[in-house]
Amino acid sequence: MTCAEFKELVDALALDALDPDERAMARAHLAETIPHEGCAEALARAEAVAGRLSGALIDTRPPDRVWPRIEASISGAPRRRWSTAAGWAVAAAASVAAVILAGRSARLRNELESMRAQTASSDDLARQCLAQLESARRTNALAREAIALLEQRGSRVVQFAPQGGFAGTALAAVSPDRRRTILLSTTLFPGPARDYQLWVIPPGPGAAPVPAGLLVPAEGVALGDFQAAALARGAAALAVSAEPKGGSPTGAPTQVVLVAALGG
Amino acid sequence: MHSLWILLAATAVLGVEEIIARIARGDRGALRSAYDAFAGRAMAIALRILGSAEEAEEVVQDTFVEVWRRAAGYRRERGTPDAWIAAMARSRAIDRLRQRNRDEKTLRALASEPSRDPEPPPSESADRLQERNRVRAALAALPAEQRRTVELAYFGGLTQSEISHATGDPLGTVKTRIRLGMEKLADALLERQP
Repeated sequence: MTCAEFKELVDALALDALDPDERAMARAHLAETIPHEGCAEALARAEAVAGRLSGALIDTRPPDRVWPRIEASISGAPRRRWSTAAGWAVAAAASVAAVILAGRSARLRNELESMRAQTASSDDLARQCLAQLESARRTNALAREAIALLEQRGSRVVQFAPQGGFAGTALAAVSPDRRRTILLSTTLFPGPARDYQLWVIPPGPGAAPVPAGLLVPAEGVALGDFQAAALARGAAALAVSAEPKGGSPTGAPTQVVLVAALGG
Repeated sequence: MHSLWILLAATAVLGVEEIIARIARGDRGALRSAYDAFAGRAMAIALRILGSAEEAEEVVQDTFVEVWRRAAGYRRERGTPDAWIAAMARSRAIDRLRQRNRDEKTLRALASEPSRDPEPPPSESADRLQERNRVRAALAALPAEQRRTVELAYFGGLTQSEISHATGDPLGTVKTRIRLGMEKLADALLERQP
């Protein structure tokens, strides 16, 4: 995308009226470390206009029941305190390792052993437990690899920018050769009807985002392993979309919620 | 007189920014102050976009819980606190809207223009009234097709492709109307740079 093409889209971007792939491309262009032709200024101007439009409405006082619900919600709600990006990533990865390696697997193993000692009627439960153990083994491995990636000389950490007011955020550890990228987040947890999907945005105008896997929940942290095949063709940016359970039904991002430019 | 107005407006913004800073430090009374000042705007936005009072209340709740959680990340250069909170409320409302199916969403957007304004709250300030009149005048000055297209995007939560689908207008026409409409709104609403 060129700066001129970006400026054609900038008003729709400020109104959140672009389709997800266009929005991701526009955000990726903005984050590119090239000499821009006033792209950030054009977006700031368009956002300033969009920010004024709600002024046309007459305020509507919410019913009295709303404030007590807010008070109840913030009681004990975690408050985000950010340290440096790299420090956060290391702390998150260490937390994953400590919790998962020392706690979850051991607990599951104990449960499994206990179930095996019980009657044959517990076979189903034992199978479920085995499945959980296998899942924990995979996240253990991914947590170890995330730590190894962060410790590798020349690795870097990139921060994802939320799109369209999305509240979550994430960091990714990128290997020096860019063949391995692991995402860490404390907010992007899959729900009963929702998954978060990873995308690689290849360089070049009009290149379609390439699906690169789903985020998996660990205890306290969500992890995403960008598939090597998706990274092999090169990446101008990385993105995360909110999807129905199982991932995008169309092969394209449904709602892009985070984008990170990789730059040079 | 104009300089005095700018000074008063700047003082008001700084006051609100101090409220956000206090929220970031965990001051619940400051969150209540922000709620008293901006919940009405958030509710109006969510009601206009979603058309459901129940869902709009949930949006207001989500918005102010997010304000509580994200106040430390507020950056003045990205907009005034009221614009930040309004954008958050709009984004939450659009997230909900986008969970609906396309036909339902389109119908909602096409019907999003209220038939009649509610009464302004008695506590409404003169500045707020002046701002509403200015934005409404700027929108009213647009050619009808440009105004409708911008409103379908902002208040209807539709993308350009969805507006094209909803109105039957070619996608290129929709894009042009948004661009021209926003340029004219910028001329009318933003202070010119010296």
